[in-house]
Amino acid sequence: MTGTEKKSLSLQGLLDHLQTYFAAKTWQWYLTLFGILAVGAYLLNWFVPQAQDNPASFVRYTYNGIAEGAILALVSVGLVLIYKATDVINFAHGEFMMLGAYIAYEMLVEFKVSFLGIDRLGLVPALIAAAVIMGLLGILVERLVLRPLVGEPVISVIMVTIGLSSIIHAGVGLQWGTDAKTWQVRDTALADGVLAQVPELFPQDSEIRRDLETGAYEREIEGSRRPVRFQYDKVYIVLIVSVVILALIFFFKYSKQGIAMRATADDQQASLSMGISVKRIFAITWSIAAMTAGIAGLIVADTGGGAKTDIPGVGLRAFPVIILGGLDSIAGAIVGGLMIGLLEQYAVGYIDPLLQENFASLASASTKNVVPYLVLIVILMFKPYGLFGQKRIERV
Amino acid sequence: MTATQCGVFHESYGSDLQLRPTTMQRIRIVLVLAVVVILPLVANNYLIRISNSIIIAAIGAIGLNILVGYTGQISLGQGAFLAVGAYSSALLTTYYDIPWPIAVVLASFITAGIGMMFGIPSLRLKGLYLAVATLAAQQIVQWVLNNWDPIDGLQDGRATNALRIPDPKIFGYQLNQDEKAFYVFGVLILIAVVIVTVNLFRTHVGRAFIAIRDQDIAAEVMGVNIFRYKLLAFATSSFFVGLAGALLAQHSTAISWERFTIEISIQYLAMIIIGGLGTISGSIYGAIFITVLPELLREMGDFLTKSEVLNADDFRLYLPFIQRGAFGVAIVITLILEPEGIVKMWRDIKNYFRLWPFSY
Repeated sequence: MTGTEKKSLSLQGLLDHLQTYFAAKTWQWYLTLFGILAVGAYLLNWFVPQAQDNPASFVRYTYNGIAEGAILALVSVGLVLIYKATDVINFAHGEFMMLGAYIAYEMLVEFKVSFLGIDRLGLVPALIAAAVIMGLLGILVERLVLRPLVGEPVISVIMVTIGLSSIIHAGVGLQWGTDAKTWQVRDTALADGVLAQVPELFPQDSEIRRDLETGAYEREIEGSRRPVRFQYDKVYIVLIVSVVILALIFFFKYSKQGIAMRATADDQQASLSMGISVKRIFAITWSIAAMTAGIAGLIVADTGGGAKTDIPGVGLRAFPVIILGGLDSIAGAIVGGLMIGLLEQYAVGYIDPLLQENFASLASASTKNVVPYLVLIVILMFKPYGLFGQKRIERV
Repeated sequence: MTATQCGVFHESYGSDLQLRPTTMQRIRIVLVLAVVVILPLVANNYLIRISNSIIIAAIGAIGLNILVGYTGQISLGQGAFLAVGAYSSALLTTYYDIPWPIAVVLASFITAGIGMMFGIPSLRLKGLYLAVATLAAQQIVQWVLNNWDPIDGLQDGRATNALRIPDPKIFGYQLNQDEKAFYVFGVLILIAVVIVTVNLFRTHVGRAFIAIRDQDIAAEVMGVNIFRYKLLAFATSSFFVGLAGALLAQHSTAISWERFTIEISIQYLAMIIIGGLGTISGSIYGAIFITVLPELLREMGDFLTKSEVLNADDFRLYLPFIQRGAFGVAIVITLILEPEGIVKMWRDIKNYFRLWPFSY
């Protein structure tokens, strides 16, 4: 961007402005953003109960949207990292997530890990195990599958990750079968009363129920015509995602490897000549991306009924996010993730009922999966490189 | 004996225009045609059914190769375009009583139109961005199929998941029942498609596609209207894909959205990658490979269960995963060992024997 460029009050100007801000004060902005998100999401539970039906459901959609968006952001950050460093889009990212979820299942159910004596907090060692194993797998994948294809056309690289996804899917199927593997089984000892033991982290002012189908902890809000349910588990999603992303930001900002990774993303040849091992950077990138995918998979499985074979669908939902935010922008992945998450929930909340009331033939339609793509196509018409993506100048 | 040829020299414009200038090539094409003719006479119904699937897949793969292999526009929306072809031919025959051959042609044109519509983003998008934009086509079409009741198949007043269409008949043969009749019909269409496509890339339009793939800016400098030719590529490609979809609908006469998911898009991409990007013969090899691979695995498994190496129940449970894993392994190995696909392997074999005793 040139210095003489005029800042107008258009959407374009606003976006450019934001972009400059994000570029200049990266981690402070992330910190503020996610501080607000985390605190806000937690506070929502305190303020909403007495609200009227509609405002409450609005807040609920927003709350769910932020939680879903946080997961999407975490998934997208991994994809963006890989793209920035190696110019590859990883179509096996959803499968990495699935694998992370199954590793967590093995840890929680087969090895029965727990933390501080609480079964539920066994999630912490499970998460660490998933991250470590996925990190190693990431290195392996880079070394065996991606490295031979450096310099091949885009389509070959896309296809090799798709092939990889098929292999992982097959492996998971052969090992664990198609049934969902839940780890909340141990809690169903409490199923009769439906009241479950919930960590004291959460406010206890009203009855907390556990949805037996999804395994989510919920609180019904009294005084509204339709019960509005908040899933408590979603608070910790935002917390974990914030912690992971903050850790990543500190890694990129202060560690030697992190700085080397940024240098490599910026200019491979220059960093090679400065003595950075680009091969190692690629391996580290894949490792970190696989770690974030594994953690995201664990969260998805924990809040969505266990490890199962349709988790890769979440990976598919991350594609509109990275295109919307710009393939090479981490800020874009986070903002895009939250936007798509909110968009999906608002579609569920407001567009679906509208369609169902007005069009008899769409009575059972759910627009959740299609609205992000519609918005995506419209946005790509105006900002072909996404909201925060770098415009590439090509020379022949 | 074969080590005589060291080049093709044309002495007239006529010979320059020939598709197969050398004797060996002519012998090979005659052999291939002989196999194609003899196959239905000797093969059983099962083999012919697989051949029919291959024919449909080959037409679809040629269509995709026009877009991805020749024009360089990556598309993940193949399943969607197949679906548009299949459903439009189905709806035309079911609701408007249009004779099915006309419906198939109309369906191809409709798909070409829809493909062009989803090709519009290619004006500003390239590479991976375009790939994800075509993923949007896939998702949107799939959503429509999934949710719009009229095409969800109303049978006796209640919605079924599959749409049934009237039996296609030609000269008294019922194509959905009589595999041999469909085979003859399909082979004729495939040959027509191959001839049209091969010749397409000898005209200025096809050359423009290739120029866009190789270096779009240079192509523009040389006077190729990029947007127009990209749209044209989307339209031509979708036309053949729609044709394949319509044939698929006529072949099975019951279609449901599960047959047009993103998995199908990926399968077709795998066909052209494994066969060879930017080659017509590669599309056909790839279609054969990807269609035969799962069947072959199943046959092998059946053989192993019969000889009691495997437990039959276990095998049935694991088969889908084994097939899927083999599919993935095939893609990864092809890309790592021979990124140019089966076509390149075949070319290497030919070159080896051409120089045979002195192959260095």
